[in-house]
Amino acid sequence: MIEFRLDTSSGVPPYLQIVRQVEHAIRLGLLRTGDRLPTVKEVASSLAVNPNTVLKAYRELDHRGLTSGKVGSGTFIEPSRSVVSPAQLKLLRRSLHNWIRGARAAGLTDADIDAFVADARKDIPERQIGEVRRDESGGR
Amino acid sequence: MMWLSWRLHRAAVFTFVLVIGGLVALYLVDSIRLHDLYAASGLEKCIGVLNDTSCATRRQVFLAENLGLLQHTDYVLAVVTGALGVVLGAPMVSTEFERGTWQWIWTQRISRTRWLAVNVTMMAVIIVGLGATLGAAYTWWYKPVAAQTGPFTNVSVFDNTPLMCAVFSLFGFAVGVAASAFLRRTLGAMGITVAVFLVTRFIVLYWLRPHYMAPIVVESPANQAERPLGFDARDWSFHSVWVDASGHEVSSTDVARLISPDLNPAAAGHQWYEVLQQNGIHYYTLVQPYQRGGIFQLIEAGIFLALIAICGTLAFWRIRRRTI
Amino acid sequence: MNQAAVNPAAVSAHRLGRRYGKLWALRDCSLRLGPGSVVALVGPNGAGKSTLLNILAGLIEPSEGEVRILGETPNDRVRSRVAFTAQNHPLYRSLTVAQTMRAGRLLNTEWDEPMARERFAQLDIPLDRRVGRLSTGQQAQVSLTLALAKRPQLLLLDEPLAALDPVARQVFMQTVMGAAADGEVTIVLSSHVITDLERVCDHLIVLDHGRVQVAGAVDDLLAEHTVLSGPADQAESLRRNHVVIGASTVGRQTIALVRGETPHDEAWRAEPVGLEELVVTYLRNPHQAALPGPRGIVKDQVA
Repeated sequence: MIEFRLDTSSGVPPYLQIVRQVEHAIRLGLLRTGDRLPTVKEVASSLAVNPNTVLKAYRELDHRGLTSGKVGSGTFIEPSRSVVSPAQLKLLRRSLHNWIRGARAAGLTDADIDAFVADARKDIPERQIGEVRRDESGGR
Repeated sequence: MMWLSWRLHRAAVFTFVLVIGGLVALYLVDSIRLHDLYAASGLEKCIGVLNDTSCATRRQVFLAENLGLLQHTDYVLAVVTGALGVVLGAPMVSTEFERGTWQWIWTQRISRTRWLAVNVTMMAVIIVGLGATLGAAYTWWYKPVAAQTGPFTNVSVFDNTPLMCAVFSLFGFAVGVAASAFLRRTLGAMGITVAVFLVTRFIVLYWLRPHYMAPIVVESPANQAERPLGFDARDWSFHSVWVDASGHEVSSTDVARLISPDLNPAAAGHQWYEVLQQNGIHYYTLVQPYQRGGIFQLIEAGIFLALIAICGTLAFWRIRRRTI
Repeated sequence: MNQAAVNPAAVSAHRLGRRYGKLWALRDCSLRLGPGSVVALVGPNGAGKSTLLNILAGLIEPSEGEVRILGETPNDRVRSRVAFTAQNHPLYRSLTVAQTMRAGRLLNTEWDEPMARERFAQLDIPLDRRVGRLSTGQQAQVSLTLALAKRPQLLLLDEPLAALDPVARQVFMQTVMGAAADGEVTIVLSSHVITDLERVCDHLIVLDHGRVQVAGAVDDLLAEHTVLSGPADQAESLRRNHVVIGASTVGRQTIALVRGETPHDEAWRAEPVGLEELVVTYLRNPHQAALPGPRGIVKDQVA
């Protein structure tokens, strides 16, 4: 079972925080295929958050193929090909550090960097995690 | 609903039960002593006897010496019957507002009318029961005095019967509930209730009670003005007046002027009542015979019941209006 | 398709007004609350929130306008499907918790006693303790349980969090959200602090000086408003070409809340708006409004 946490000051909408926490847990292997997510009522109660927010998060997870829900029996983690290995994470982190050094040298502050990244990210739409894998194995 | 109403009011009710129970016990216990003394006094033969100095003296002596401490409790009775109404009635609606619980109780399935009806009915039954019991105990204890004085000349005999005690308490209660519904503040409602209760009782007692039925008018010749003939000691002569030949009232100052030789030369050499007789002036007394006591109590009870109905209607009307 | 027939509104009010002498506590209030929504009723003290809730609860009659609760004009029958907790959670202090529940059970036709008992067990509230001896947080929970045990279709909570400490607040909201998740109930919570209600509500009503200033779904309201920061010397042209709700200028920079279209030039940096900022900006600019219908851009929210 996963325990959620909401950070109200982060600026990220609550439903998205829930989605990301599930994704994060899946990536790190904390949630495995077949694990059941807590019910909407359980999450809404424990977080004191609107049930529709939880529903929205669960729908998004379903849409991304990470979970599948059967009415009456709960929401389960789908077999996912999106586990990111620690090695991959390390590589990504290193290339990001390089970029950040370059940005700082150019005079961007932290807030500028966040805005820049958010903006640039819009240029490349997020894909289903299964697709990313296919692209990788095809040699990028 | 009855359970809730009882649960919320039972402390106040128990207090009254204790107080009234105590008084009842006192009266019942003391009545043995008093009744024995009365039987031994032989005053029974003096009942209703007027114009007999011996009876009058023995009556006075008996009443002065034998009633004991309890003789002052007629005030206590008046206070207790008034308090029954004020304490149980005045907080009825206002505490709901002061506590804020009106916002809970009046959003439940029960309607406001039914809520008030249940509360009021339950308390009314209790109040009538307590009032009547207190009145009964007092009346039983006071029987010797009542036999001697009749229902009118001694206010306690009239006011403290089971019927009247119950009616007065219920009246206080009705005023309290109505005040409570309009004022929504308990202290203010209590104040208003006490004021209205006292003023109404006063008005009824002194202005209305003598006139429930047309009084008997007794005309007496001037020389017997002080002692109308043929009457019972228990009768109530509540108004006396000098009247001239043409039927007009003559004030006592005018009478004094007529009979004073200094102011009226024609009065010289005559007895004062001869002067009045010559001028055609008679003495009239308005009297209510003692036998009318029962009917008068019923009439007065009826008046108060009407007032209770008015207060009740006002209270229910105010409750239903959803305007704070 | 007739939306009203398919999705009867939980509450529908038309030009509701309430007057005390010459003072209007509520004026010209029209709203529609869809079934199942969680509505935040926000506004400064004295804005008329309590008056509105009291009218919806059937405790006061409006001086003008009409209101329909669960499809009917307020009457005894409807009242049994509406639950109301007033400010400060009034209860009979001399009764024990168990006796309070008994009172509720006797005075209502529908009553979920097992749920109430389970809730008290979970919260560690002793049934035999007098209500007057409970902590404020516990009293709030008793009050809320009394309301929920009625199985209401409309739950009205007037400033439920005002007297509670942070822990009690969280426990209280957890309970309310649990009830919301069970479905079938429309919830209206009032507060003069929007942050209390931010992640709980999906609809927002802002009352100011007795009038409805903002009404709509939170997601829509947030999507349609943007915070722009840019050069103060372009503030005028911004106002001319866009719907500016409120703006403040400090030095050479202006920060403005804009509704609808945002300018495409790079002079203005756009950021999403937070709910508190939205509410405060509207309250500071009382001549502005965001209402459903042709006047506002907020979509007509039915459900």
